[in-house]
Amino acid sequence: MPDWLTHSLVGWITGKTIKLEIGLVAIGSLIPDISKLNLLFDWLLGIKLETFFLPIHTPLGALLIAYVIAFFFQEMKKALIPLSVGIATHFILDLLLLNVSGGMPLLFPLSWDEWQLNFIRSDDYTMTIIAIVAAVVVYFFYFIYEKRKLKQNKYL
Amino acid sequence: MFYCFQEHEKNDPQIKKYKLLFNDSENYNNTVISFLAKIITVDKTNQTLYVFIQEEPYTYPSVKVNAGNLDIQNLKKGDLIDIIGIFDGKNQMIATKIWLNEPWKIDLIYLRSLPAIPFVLYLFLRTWKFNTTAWRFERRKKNA
Repeated sequence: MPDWLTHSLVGWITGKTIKLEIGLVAIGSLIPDISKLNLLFDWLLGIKLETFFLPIHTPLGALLIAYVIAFFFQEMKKALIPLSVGIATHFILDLLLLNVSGGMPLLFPLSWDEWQLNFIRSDDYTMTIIAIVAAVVVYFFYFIYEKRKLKQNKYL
Repeated sequence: MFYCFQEHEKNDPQIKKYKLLFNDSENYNNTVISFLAKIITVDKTNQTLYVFIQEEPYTYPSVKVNAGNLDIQNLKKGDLIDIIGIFDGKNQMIATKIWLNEPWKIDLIYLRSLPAIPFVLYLFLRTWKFNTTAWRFERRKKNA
């Protein structure tokens, strides 16, 4: 997995650029990694539950979690869309990884086949640096854009 | 989740592959294999490693790895490594790539993940608040 900072920054960039609810896209971008709860069980109790939590790190599992979260919003559909976009950004980033133990079972439970593109190892922080630089660029772009827009409106 | 927990060993493609390789090694020579492994011994003179495949919670026999021209000078007993190579007969392989999994790099992933928690909470909570009566998230007034 890329780290959560990379996932959340890419979620933020996506939400900002396609004008979706940023907070929900960012939350969605971390939903599949709820499966990392297995690490807590391992560290605290020494119980290996990786395979139990694995379905959460699949598109179907993550979407079901998003559906449950969206249930706590008045307009469920409006919440579900940005959450799903966030989930999509997560899987796109994870797909870039090279993992010798296999990729992601994207079609689980229909198929156990695993996919990955083998571009970058998860402990490589290049992706984090790229995400930080991209987020800074997007931030300043919108900062300048909104300032200009405000100025134009003032003169009108 | 229970389905995955119970059926994983039977269906996981990587585990299926390991089983075939170790139980019917004669028929799977020259198959590309990759795995996470723990080093048992390093023979730097003969460019050979003995490793255990680390696919927790499953266990596999040890594998003799011929490292060929790869640099194994910095490897030592107990190190965790990622290996890609070609299966070469009973419990041995020729490595084409080896990466050392340095513990500090793994810790750094968790460390880099920590700032994401307040960041995402800030992004979310600046727009939404939880209404404990209605049990719903509601938009904050300035964002309504």
